[in-house]
Amino acid sequence: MKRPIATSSASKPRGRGVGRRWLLVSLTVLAVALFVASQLNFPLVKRLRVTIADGAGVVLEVLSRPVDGIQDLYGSVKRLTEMADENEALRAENERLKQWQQAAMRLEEENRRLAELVNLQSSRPNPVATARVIAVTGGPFARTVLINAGSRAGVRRDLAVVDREGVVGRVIEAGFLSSRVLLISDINSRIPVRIAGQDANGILVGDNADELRLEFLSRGAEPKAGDLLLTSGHGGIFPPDIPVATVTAVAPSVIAEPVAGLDALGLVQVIEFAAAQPPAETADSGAGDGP
Amino acid sequence: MTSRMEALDQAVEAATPAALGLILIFAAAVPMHVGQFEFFTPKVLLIMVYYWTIHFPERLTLGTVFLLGLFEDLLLGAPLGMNALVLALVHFLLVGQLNVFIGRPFVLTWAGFLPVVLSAAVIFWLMSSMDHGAFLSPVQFLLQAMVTMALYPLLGWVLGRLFRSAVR
Repeated sequence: MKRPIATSSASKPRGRGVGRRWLLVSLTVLAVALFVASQLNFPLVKRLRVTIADGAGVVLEVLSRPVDGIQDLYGSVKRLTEMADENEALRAENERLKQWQQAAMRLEEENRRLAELVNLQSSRPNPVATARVIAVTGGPFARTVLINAGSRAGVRRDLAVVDREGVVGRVIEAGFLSSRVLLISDINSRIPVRIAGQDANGILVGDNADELRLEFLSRGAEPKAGDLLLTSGHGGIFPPDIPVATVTAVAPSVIAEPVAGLDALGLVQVIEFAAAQPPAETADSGAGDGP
Repeated sequence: MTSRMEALDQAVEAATPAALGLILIFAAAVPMHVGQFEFFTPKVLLIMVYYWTIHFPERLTLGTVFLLGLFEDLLLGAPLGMNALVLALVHFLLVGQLNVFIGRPFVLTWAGFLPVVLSAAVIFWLMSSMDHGAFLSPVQFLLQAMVTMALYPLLGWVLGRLFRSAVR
């Protein structure tokens, strides 16, 4: 490969000298002003980001198709080579799942009857939209992705995003055609969780890394490696009982690994937390107390 | 007819850096499904600005560089003005030092990229930390700088080929 050599024919850009210096000073002032404006959450800056993401989303969707195609092809070839082993494993799993299905059906019926007895309102998540990740827009400063569903599909700010394994993140900006999702690994992410099988709550904190930290644990909580962390439903964004992470270490601090495939996201689902509504008479009487 | 073709040629030449910059920004944002390296996307725009400022400075203006950086900030959700400021500074400083690079072999221009990418990483780290209101770990910024440095020979070669075919 012949390497290019910096040539002497290169001439300097026009308007050099004092003019360029003033231009740099002006652009620096502009950059600092924009930085401050974004810190102060100016609505114009937010709108600009959403508009750019919306417009770019169309291009990114087209560009991401070939990569997804190659990924699918690779997956198909890999599956073909592993088909015999996979078949055997699936047969065994099927047998096991049949037994679990019986148990699940029995428990579901029991659960339904008990819920009816205590007049419990369902807090199941409502699916809003299924979307594809079209861009990884973070970096060392943030962990965000763009998805190809926006307000046109019913997506709005602060809706939860999950994949087939568990929680991915939440919507922080919703445009018309695309939305930006803050991943659970982002340094600004805080998710109220509980340890499965224990009456212990905590907050799962992102760190712009692949692992998460479990903080503010309930008194008496005894997390151990392998414990599953589920959403607790507190905070009103993430519906309860969705897997978030698995504890990998407990000392010196509690570290967990996301169950969702954050580094290879494809299809995701945007869901809405349909929290239990209070009984009608309580809601009516409470309505008058508001400001 | 000839003058119209010439005007078209000139327009294509003038638009090439901006168009290529946009393509690079988009290409870098496309999910590559590369596991834990997904978020160590190299700063391809920085490579482009460095390479073209050294080799074809008359084709790349300070304003274009700033606007490309601003577009990257808006698309990536980065602290606004961060990439715009860094790229404008790199362009401005390099234009003042062109004599250092003229006639030098590729390896030296590649080596010259190291202080540029490291200084940029420091500014990115400081501005991102200011954005978060706390010092972020510098390790990931350093890793991104190293990935960018490693990609320079390949992308530099591609950029050189692209430019030559665009202005031929």
